Amino acid sequence: MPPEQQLELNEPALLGAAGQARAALRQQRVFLVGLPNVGKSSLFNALSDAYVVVSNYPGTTVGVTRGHLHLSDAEGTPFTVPIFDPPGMYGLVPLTEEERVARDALFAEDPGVVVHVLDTKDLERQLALSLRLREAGLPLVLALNMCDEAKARGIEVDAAGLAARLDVPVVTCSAITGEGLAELEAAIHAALRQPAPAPRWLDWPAAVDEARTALAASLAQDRELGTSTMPSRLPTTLAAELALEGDFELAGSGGIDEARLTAARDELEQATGHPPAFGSACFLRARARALIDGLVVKPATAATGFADRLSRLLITPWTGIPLLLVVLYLAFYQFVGVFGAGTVVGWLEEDLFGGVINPAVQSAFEALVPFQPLRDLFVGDYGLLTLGITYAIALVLPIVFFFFLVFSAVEDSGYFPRFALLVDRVFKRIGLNGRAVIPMVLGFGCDTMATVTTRTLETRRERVLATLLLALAIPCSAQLGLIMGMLGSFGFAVWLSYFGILVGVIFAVGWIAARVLPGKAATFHMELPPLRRPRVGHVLAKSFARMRWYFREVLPLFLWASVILWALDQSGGLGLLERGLAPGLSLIGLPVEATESFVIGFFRRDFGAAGLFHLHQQSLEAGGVGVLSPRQVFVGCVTLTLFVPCIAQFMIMWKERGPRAALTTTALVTLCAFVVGATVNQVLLATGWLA
Amino acid sequence: MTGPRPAQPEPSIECGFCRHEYRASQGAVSGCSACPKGSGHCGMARCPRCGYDNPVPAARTGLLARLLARWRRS
Repeated sequence: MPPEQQLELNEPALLGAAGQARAALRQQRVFLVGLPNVGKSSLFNALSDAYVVVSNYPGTTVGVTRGHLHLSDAEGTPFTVPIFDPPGMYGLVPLTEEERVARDALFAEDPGVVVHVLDTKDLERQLALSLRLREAGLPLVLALNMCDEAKARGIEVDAAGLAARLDVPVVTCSAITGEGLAELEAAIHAALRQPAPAPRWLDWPAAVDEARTALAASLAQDRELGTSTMPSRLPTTLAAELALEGDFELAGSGGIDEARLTAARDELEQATGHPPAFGSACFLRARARALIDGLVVKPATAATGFADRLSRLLITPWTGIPLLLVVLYLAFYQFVGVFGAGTVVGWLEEDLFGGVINPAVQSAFEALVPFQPLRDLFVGDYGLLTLGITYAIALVLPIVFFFFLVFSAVEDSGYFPRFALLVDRVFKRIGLNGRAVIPMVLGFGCDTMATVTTRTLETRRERVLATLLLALAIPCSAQLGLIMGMLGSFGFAVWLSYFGILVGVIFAVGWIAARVLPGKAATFHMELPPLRRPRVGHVLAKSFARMRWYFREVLPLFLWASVILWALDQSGGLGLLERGLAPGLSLIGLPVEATESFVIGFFRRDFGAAGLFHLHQQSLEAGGVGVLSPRQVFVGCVTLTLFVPCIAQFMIMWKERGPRAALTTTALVTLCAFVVGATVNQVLLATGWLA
Repeated sequence: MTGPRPAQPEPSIECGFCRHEYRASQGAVSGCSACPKGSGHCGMARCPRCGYDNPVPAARTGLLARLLARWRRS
């Protein structure tokens, strides 16, 4: 139908009351909302026709998918309404651009029906959003998706009971099997014909009620004056709630400045004893729990029960710390340290490279290349093959491979967010919160990227503190693996002592820095994803991906470092460096031969660690007598870990925190490394341990 | 509205920290331009929800992992 003709038919004057109602119905829009991974897009595909379009939401790069939902009116005449599939969102206070787009689109597009899609298997954590949508006065239909999976797990939900308690239509369905989709379409159609409901407020605590009422009055005043840019569909009381939970942007669009909102938030925090966002999350969760009380039947399977119990044990300090030590011992010490760095590296470095490949290539070079310096470039002490490739393939490759396997398995199990909660209390004492664990954990992968990630921390103070601690005491994965390998041969007590010293340094420096840098720690709360058995496919894919990118980056650097060391050796520069660093090294009880490890450690700490490891291997081959004694290995490991960050991390600190912070951090880190190294050396000498 | 839906959607990445699912293109974020390793060349895509960096599985390693997982299940 041409647009002009359609417009003509829709003219109210030409339509009767029934016609006007039909026309109004056809202009409605249907919105799907829900948390990520609840099958929202599958439901969208099942409901909409084949032709869909994806558009970037204005001013963003986030796509909102639109299709057509085919319905029939009361007379059986088919008609279509647009159906939108915005990105998933966890709540109405957005943390990401996607969530902001989803929230803004929801209130800007004035939907005729909002279908809240929920995963039937886990309703409690999702119903908080339903309660919020009800408060928004949006015409709501609940779609309990994945009902087939829920049934297969023996989960039963009383949808009629839930509908009665919520006073909104609730339909169980499955986008995959098609079950319940006709009922869902009927519920959408029925809801489209109803007038929009009034907001239904929850029984918020009095302190919250007072705070939001004051802000809402101000928001309403600005809206009346026409100075507000808040979506008109968003009730001011709800906007005030969201602002109090930390949505400064929304508050700003409603005419409330940052200082006023901060004061209101602080006042509310004082009145309730906890941060507003945390308080709201707990309140909504409690209401959601009460909502489904007696309506959901779940079989108490052994697997679920065990996972829940283990999850609780992992986040409780008294049990969480011993369990952390068990994970460290079995996964990282035994598997990476003893097996990876001991058995596999021994075979690769000593038997394959040391016994077969390197001697053969050295013989070939001696026969074919008469020029000694050129021969040294390839097969000398700092040769491309004998140093660069041997370190990369025989030393670093197996260790980081085993490390990445374990790291990916622990990561896939859902342990890291529990670790974050476990250390949150301790971190607060040094001015950081559990969110800072993310860059700290990332630092074990790559300190450079972790330094970039400190941007996600809320306050400048936290960002500076986290950057300092990353530069100081978090070894990157390859370095950690190599150190695990080196220290593994001395036993678990030595291995654990190394971590004990690092943790001690982190807290000592953090404690001092937190008192030097003014400010208070930002609050942190997060939802824990379920604990699960690591999936082989995920672990392998992540490990291989990490390995691939690691070696793409590190191999050229190893080769370049070999060339630089060779050039320094040939020119006599290495001797000068050794003499220059000798006093510093003697302070920590290390021989001048360790100079090269520290020099190249500035380019990459893992290469420096590989140098120490190589010296240690030489000592072991000589029957324990040689370049590095166990005490020197231990002191070298501690000092090198605390030593200046690699050059890439130095550059990122310069960019992220500025030249002053980068230079100050580097100076502090160097000083701290040698002070701690010297102290550890003196303690070991005095006690005779690791003599 | 711009353009049709892509024929082959980008594979999603599950965040190792918060389990948020996102596409690699959504994870190329502000930090990349500042990184000395070069924008987007580290093989990681940051979770837009929590900031955790997750590796982007290459097509071949992803296939290998799926085959191994299938073999293990059988």
